Amino acid sequence: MLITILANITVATIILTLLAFAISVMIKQGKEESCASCSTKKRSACKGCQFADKCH
Amino acid sequence: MHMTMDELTVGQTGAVKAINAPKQLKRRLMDMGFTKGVGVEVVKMAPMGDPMEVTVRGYHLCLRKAEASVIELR
Amino acid sequence: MQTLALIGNPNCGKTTLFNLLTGTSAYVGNWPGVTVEKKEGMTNGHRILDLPGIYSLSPYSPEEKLSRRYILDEQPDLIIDVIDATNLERSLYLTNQLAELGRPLLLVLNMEDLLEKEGITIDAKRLSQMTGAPVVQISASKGTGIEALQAQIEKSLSEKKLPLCPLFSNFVERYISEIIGDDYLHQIPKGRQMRWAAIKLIEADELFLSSMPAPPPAFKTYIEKARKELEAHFEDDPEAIIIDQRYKVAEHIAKDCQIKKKTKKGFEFDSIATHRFAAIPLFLAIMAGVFYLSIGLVGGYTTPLLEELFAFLGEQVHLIADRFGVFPLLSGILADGIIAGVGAVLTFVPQLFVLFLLLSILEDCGYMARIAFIMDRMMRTLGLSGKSIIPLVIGTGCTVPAIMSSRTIEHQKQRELTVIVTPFIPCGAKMPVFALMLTYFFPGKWFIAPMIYLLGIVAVVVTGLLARALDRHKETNAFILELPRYQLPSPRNTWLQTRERTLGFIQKAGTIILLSSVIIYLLSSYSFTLQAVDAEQSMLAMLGKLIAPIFAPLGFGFWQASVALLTGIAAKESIVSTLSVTIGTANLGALFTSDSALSYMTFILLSSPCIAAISAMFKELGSKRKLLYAVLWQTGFAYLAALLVRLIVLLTL
Repeated sequence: MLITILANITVATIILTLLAFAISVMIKQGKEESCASCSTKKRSACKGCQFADKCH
Repeated sequence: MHMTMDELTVGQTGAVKAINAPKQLKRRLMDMGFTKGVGVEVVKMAPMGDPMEVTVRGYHLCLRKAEASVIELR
Repeated sequence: MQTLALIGNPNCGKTTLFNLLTGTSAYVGNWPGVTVEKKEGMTNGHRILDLPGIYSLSPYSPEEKLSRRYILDEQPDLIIDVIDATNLERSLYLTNQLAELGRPLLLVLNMEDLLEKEGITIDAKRLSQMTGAPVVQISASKGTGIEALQAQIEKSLSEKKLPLCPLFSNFVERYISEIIGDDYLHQIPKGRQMRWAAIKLIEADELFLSSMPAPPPAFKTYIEKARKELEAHFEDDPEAIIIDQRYKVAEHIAKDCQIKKKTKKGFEFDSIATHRFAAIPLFLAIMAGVFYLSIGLVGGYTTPLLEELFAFLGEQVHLIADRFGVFPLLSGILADGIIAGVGAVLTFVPQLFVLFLLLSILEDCGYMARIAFIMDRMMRTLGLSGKSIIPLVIGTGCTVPAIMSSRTIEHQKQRELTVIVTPFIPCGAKMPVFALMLTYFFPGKWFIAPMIYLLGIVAVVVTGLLARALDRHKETNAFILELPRYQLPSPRNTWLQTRERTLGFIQKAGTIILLSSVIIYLLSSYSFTLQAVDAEQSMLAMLGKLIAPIFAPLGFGFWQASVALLTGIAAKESIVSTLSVTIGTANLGALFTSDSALSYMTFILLSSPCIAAISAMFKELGSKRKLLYAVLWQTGFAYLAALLVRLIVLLTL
């Protein structure tokens, strides 16, 4: 019985941790206003304008 | 000789005489180096004949024939 | 804290230098009121700004106006002018204008590693003498000279020495002195130099004139007289005369400071890259090569392996969980929700990594400008510009940077049209679902994959032709593009860019897709009364069946397909994860048929992109109305195209 409870708790914890992590990252992204596709704004190498060095 | 840059063929050179264009385009072309007396050389044409690649002041630049036609050459 | 402003021509390596100096401290923001990116960072305790690449400080384009206004109003403590050492003469044209602004100036001769190859020697000392500004030689891509530069920056910041102003011909100087002598110029706003202001008056510079009170009539008459006399003497308008004078100074300095030897030209890639007949086939071959290497080669190898890995993982979780009596709900969420959903997407990481890598190299090596050059004529018949091809190429990786790269197109209509058609090109996120469908329904028929790209291109062409036909004005903007030197992109930059995009993909998997997979699993396992049910009776099915009938003509009128499409709004990768959770990747055939699979793929290909891309579109289009039109056009076109595809398949097979 104990093992069952522990096992359940383990799995539940895994799931909740993953979910919490996912949500926290998304909130942070929302605050930073970063590109959800490239995901980072710092050192953004994902600038479309970079190759031409000129942004309209 | 009243010739414009778009009339040059590959390998031909010329010297800029004047730019006959509205203010902004003229300014832009001059900013890029097309001033009176400067030499230009046509390097090649794009696969469909337009735009054209030229060298001016030691660097390569491409522009459409429409733009090149405002550059009058000596 | 002192502020440094980095400025220079496009393609001078300024951004590479900026990245070197700022390390990881850089971030991108926005200048208020303009759509120009603001790049800021910290270096050595100073704030440093990377101004847009410009050729001149004319009062016309947003970038130039911004740079000028920034230097005059914000008064940076030091202007660092980055010069492509192999392009000294043209670069000095901007330098001359910077010298007149009255801020300390530091000249950086970048690309010193290329001087020898091109047979150029520059006398840096003489250059420094003639300009009155210190000169440092570096190679940003090789990383040489950076310490000397940083030392000089500190020195310049403490010395605050102003550069020499270029002097024009006596005839012009006479007028400048007289204008400076007048009282009017005492009213110039803070931070402006008298000499600079005088020159602006001669040029009749609108930006400057709008910042000044109206001149008294006598002075105004004088200025007009001066302009007329200049015009008569030089046979050109005053603005052109000043530009000419500046270039003469640049020529003079360049002639004095540099020696150019005639070098033997080695093989130049441009001999085929822009060759009249070979250029376009070469471009197609390069793109085909990029896709083959990433999706075909790497993908073909890693995809089956990873699929098996995740399937195995899921099984193991079930086995172990059952052994220990874990609730089916929990083990289900973990195995059939998270692992199945996220796994379906992570399977594609290796091939996308390679794709991003190759695209990054393509973007940074200088080839893109050639593509714009060779494709311009063709693009113009579609109402686009040659520069529009670049977003379309970048879009094969990710639509968001592709849409942002459309900023280089100055013509507004062309730019907007480019933004609307760019999402038609299949992006990396759509690949999982295509791969899934293709391997399930069309094993071995590899030629269908390129046809998907072709379909995207057809959509671009049709939209372009239609837009052009409906456009009554048909005016085009100037197309003037510098063809930069080819260069091997700095490994560091390439790695950073690739890593960032790949991590972005993985992060999306770990966040949006994880969440949506769990939610989808739960919703598809329970009814509204929270009883455990079969998927068909679940909440999700009930909701999905509300929308599903819309897609019945396209062949996928079952709720699982619609629900998957909805999750695709958050991220296109979700489509495949949702299908995994709701149908199971092994059972696609139970609901889809080969014709409905193709129409489904067509719809996904062409319909509106993910929310990130939609917001990028909104940023570029600027108005909600235009965004709505774009989304409606894309989705409507997608529906019709999917219908057409289905009909064709049904009729021919």
